[in-house]
Amino acid sequence: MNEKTKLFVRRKFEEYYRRARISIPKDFWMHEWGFVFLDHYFPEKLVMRRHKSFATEKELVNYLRENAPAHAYHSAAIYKYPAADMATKGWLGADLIFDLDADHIVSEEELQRYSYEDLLGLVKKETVKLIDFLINDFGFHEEDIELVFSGSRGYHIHIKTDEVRGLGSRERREIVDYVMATGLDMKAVLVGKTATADYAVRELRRCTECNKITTKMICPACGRDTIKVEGKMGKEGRDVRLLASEGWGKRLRKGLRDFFITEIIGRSDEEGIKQLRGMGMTKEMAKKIVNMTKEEGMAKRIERMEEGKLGFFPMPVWAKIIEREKVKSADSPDAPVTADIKRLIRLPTSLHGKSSLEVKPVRIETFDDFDPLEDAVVFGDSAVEITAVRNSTIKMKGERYKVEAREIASVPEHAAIYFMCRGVAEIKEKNSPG
Amino acid sequence: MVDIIMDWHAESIPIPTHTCFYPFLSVASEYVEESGVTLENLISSAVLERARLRGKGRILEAIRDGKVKKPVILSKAQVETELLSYPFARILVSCIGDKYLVRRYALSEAKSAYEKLLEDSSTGSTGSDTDIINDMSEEFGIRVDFFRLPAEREQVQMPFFDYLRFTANLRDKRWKLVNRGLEKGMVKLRRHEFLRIIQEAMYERIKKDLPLDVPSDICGAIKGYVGDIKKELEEKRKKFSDASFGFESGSEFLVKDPSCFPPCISYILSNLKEGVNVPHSARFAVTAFLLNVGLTEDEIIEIYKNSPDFDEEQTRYQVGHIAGDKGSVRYTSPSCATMHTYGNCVGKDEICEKVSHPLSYYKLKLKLKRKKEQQDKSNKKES
Ligand code: SF4
Repeated sequence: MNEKTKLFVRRKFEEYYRRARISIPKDFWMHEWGFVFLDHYFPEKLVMRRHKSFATEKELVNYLRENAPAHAYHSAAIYKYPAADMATKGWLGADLIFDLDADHIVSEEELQRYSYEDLLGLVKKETVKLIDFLINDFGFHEEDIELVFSGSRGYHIHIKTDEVRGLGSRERREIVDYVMATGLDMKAVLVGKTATADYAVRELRRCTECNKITTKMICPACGRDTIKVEGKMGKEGRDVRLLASEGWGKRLRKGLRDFFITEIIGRSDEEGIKQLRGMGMTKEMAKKIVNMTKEEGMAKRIERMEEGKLGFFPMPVWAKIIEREKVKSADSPDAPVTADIKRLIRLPTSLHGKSSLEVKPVRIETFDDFDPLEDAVVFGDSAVEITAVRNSTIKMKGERYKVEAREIASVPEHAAIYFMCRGVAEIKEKNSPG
Repeated sequence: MVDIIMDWHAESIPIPTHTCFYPFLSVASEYVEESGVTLENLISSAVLERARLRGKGRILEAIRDGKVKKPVILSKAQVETELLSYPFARILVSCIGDKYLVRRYALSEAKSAYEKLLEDSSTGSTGSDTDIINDMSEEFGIRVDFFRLPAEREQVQMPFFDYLRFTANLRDKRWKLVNRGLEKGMVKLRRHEFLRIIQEAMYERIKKDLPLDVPSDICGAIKGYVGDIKKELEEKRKKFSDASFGFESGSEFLVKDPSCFPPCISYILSNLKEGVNVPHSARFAVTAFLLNVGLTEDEIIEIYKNSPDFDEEQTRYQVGHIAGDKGSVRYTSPSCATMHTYGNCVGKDEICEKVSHPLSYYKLKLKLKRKKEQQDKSNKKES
């Protein structure tokens, strides 16, 4: 970003901060604040000015207006002396923060393959899952969950109740582990035999090929179909397992059902078989299961899954279901973000200096319809001439813009500033006045 | 004079016998407060000598056995002795001011109280199981509900905040939140599991504020009780350090032989020893390495104690995490390539040329050393 472009962006950021209504966190005076300016280091070197504090809302707003920072953050923690150095700040508590970002969800190589829009879609899916965990498992109220678009490739969640503020970093880690299924032990959720007798007492079947008597649909000895015969096996159905009805047990019940419905029943035979084979089943086994889903009894079987009553399912199947149900990354695996009780988080309603998008609060009810490339765009539509320095494309407000290196293009202001912040384009040099 | 006071109170404030088994509960401390026994009395009054001796005994038992035995109560006076011995023990522990002692003492008291609690709840000697759970949760400010699923045993549920707070030190993976039934913010527990959590709450309560800030003249006045405790503590410590500081024991079987550690690891270790602040990546490397060669978590924590920013709890957590308890993966120490990337490959020598992993360095060097020893031996025999 050359100086001229920087100046332009800075002007535009200033305009934004002059008109924007900044969402000021409660207890803002107890937070530490940090900013990166559009100064001459930017963006090659990001100099964070930390350990700031503000006594009044006005002081904070004026600071933003005067400096129009490229990035604005406040601490998750509240302190007695927020402006003191780390050792003497006097930690009083911290909001519970989740940071879901595309680069924690897909690997670095994959990252290149996805478009920005696709990545946002992926993160959104994970965010929906996380919110579901927070409400249904952790019992947070919807109004206590502040959902914010990060301004870049993800979402943040802030929870600021008194109870969470006292949690230590170890306790926070446990919450992250919960939503990411880290350390989940199948033994803990498979609680044992069914308590109700009807399924425990099982009908006997005979193999159509080798005549073995079994309770299985498929003969364990030769893999052929079995048919029902007279008689029952009443030994409390030793291999009937019951999935716990709460916590991860409940999620796995639902996950198993969803998996069967969407990945096996809802697909062609070949795809269904492929899915199952991918989980380590033999071809025969996979075929049998796919055929089984077409039998009349399948509805009943799905019902049983919902009740948590299971026949035997091998570990790879669970691994697959857990993978589907867990939040892929509420946190980057190497940096325990949520557990870090001293970290900084972007100020909602500030601008993200690498995208020019607003760090936008989103209501959970309307999250489904939220489109950052529409709803977090804050700049106008008047045409701006830019010189592209490399190829890039973006779809904003429903329009796709494409620029090629060295091309001069005239695009709406919001797209122009986006490209500048991404380092894709510079403002076009005027050759001569007029 | 004191005798009269004591008698008078014993008459007027009824206190259930079993309270003295849990002297850290609020009823017990209220009793002590209202009994009119002053700090002055407690440390010097002749009639309270029994309480003081029992107080000292509590600590000695804690050091020796990790338990504080619950006596058979035969008289009211004994109840009082038991109750008053507890605050005196706290004063003693505080005057000694040793961190290890504080932890050991608090843990022993909590454990013994827990055992008593289990006994009470199974014999029903102090009311029903439900009463005990209710009383205890009220005492520790935990909101509990009882609920019953169809065809299942009655369970207890508590808010996950409290659950996390009190299970922070429980390492078994079944305590991990992810393995619990959690619904709408409440964690489901079996009754005995809840009681186990109460032990943690008791531990926190007992450890809280210890060591107390006791004025030096008071510590001076009770010096006579301190000597035996210090001696016991020293002995324990000696045993402890002999047994645990794995690679200083000079045992013949050289499983953890620091002389065979690769230069990178030795360098980090010496920095830790000298209290030099060591970057995170190096701490990770050394911790994983030591765990991989078989040191225990406690032994490793010992090593970190010299570190300038030592925080026991945090270190314990980090080491535990690397060790892979609570269900996390057990880490293998980083390879030479990674060590190099983070600038932790320091002091490369000729053995390094043959290996690509600090652990292989260690194994190779051990082998070489043994070979050499064998040779030396046979050389000696020959000569
Ligand atoms: S080469 Fe490997 S073993 Fe040798 S010092 Fe470097 S990291 Fe350690």
